[in-house]
Amino acid sequence: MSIPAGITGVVGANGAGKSTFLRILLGLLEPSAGTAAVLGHDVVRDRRLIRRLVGYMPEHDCLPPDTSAAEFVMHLGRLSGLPPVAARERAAEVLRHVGLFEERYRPMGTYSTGMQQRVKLAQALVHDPRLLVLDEPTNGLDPAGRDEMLALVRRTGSEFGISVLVSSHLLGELERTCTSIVAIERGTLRHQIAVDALTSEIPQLAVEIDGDADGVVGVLLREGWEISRDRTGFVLTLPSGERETAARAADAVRDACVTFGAGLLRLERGRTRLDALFADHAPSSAGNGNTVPASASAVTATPVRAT
Amino acid sequence: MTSTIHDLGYRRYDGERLSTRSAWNALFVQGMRTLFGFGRPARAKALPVFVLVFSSLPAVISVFIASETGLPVRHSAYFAGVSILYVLFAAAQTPELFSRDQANRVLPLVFSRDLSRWQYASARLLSVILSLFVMMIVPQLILWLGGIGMAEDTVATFQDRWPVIGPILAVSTLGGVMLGTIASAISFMTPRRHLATAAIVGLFIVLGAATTALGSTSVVEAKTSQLFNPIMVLDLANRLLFDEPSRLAARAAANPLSVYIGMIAVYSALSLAVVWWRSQKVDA
Repeated sequence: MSIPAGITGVVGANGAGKSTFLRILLGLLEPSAGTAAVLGHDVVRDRRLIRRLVGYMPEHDCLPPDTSAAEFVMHLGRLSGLPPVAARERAAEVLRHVGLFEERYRPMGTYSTGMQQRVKLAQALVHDPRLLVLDEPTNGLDPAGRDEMLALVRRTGSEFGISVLVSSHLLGELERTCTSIVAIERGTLRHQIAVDALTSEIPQLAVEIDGDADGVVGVLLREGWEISRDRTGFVLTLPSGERETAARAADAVRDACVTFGAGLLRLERGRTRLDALFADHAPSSAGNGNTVPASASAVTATPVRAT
Repeated sequence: MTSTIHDLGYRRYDGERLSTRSAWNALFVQGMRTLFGFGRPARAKALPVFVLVFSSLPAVISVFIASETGLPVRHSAYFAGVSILYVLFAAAQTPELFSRDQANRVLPLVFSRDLSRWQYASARLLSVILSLFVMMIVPQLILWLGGIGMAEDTVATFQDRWPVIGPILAVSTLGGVMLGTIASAISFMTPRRHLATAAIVGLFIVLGAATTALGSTSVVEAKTSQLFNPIMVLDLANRLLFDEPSRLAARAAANPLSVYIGMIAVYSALSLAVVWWRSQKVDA
């Protein structure tokens, strides 16, 4: 399996082995079987080389409460080999990038969870790595905080050319953020999917109405549309994926609703959703999905495992 | 904290990147600052200042009440008098590095950078050793320089007494290395600071008591049993190194100097082995 440059999500249930996988890539754990390479370097043999190129944000708390963010991030910049002055400047810069300003001089014990997550991201960025490894960056954040953190991850990955490997147990989060996704189930890397290909539009209209659904469906069926009912509404399958066809179908639904005085609650193009796709993948598909040329890869791995 | 403000932020860094050596130095310096409480809240400075002041006080007083017959406090006996303060410093401050790093879980951040586990441990260990060295040498220097400065004929006294700097450096180094490695080995074993502090103090108390108990029986000779007390070993090495005439030293030091220095080396080497082993094993 090979993971391309860009933002890649690592999804799996709690305890599936996401953190273990990331820690193997960083050389913090020895793989008990298999091999993996990061940016073309073997994780066991070249771990020191890899560490110079990678920034790691762990899942757990890692901030000394009586130290200020400015001092802490600067210290870790020094440990990454930055000269003292550069470390100070970079610390201020990355903290500003993640949205910490005057607060950065306060002891980190006084920070909210959201601020702490930002500092953890900043310390991973201080030495300008080529690959960011983020383990559950939205852990403990409220919905607004999650959105901000994900936006930050997206921007860092897309605007600054840094590849990102981000783990989460929430598929929906990764779907919005990542360009590709790998799934881990019970310690095994399962499959890899490019998000674009999978969340693209499919020739369907999803409709939900409030009112005489049977009447509306009857009219549409008489007009010759192909319709299947589901739990909350119905799905109208388009004869082709063209835009005009979809527009005609939408007009037909609207007119039918007007005729029966029904309220139109939802009318949208159907999209493949990732969770549906992962549900479709039987375990027999393990290890395939090698769709991207290895030359462009941020990470390559044969099945790795750690005890 | 809107996302527009973030736009000011990120720039690529294409400046100089230094070697692992510079990272090691940064860790070492940060360790020294932590041990002495620099850049930390006032309460973090309390213990280092307390130990430094009270371990130097006898030397200061001694210098001011010095008479023509010389200093009332001897270099050779100094360690025995204030050793409890050094144990206190080692027990309280060493866990500030080794235990706290584990409790705060910063080790994964350190180890995911280009620093090996042993480089981390050695930088921490060396800052502990050097801080103890400083604590131990300051009172000795006050005593030495004070004794020279307060003498009537300063030049003659200096010419007479300058070789004492040799043993002063030697005892401070031996003490720093031995106390530092023992305290580091113990505090590296646990992320709980208070447990580590208690264990360090406890170890020296237990070994001291055991030595006394053994010495009072006829099973083991005093000359053997005293070797099991690291503090006593250090004290006796002090007394022999300074070569000052003292009935106490002659009576208590039943072994030649080389035996005491050998024991200090053994204690240090064992503790060093523990630090190395733990550095490879500790969770990251």
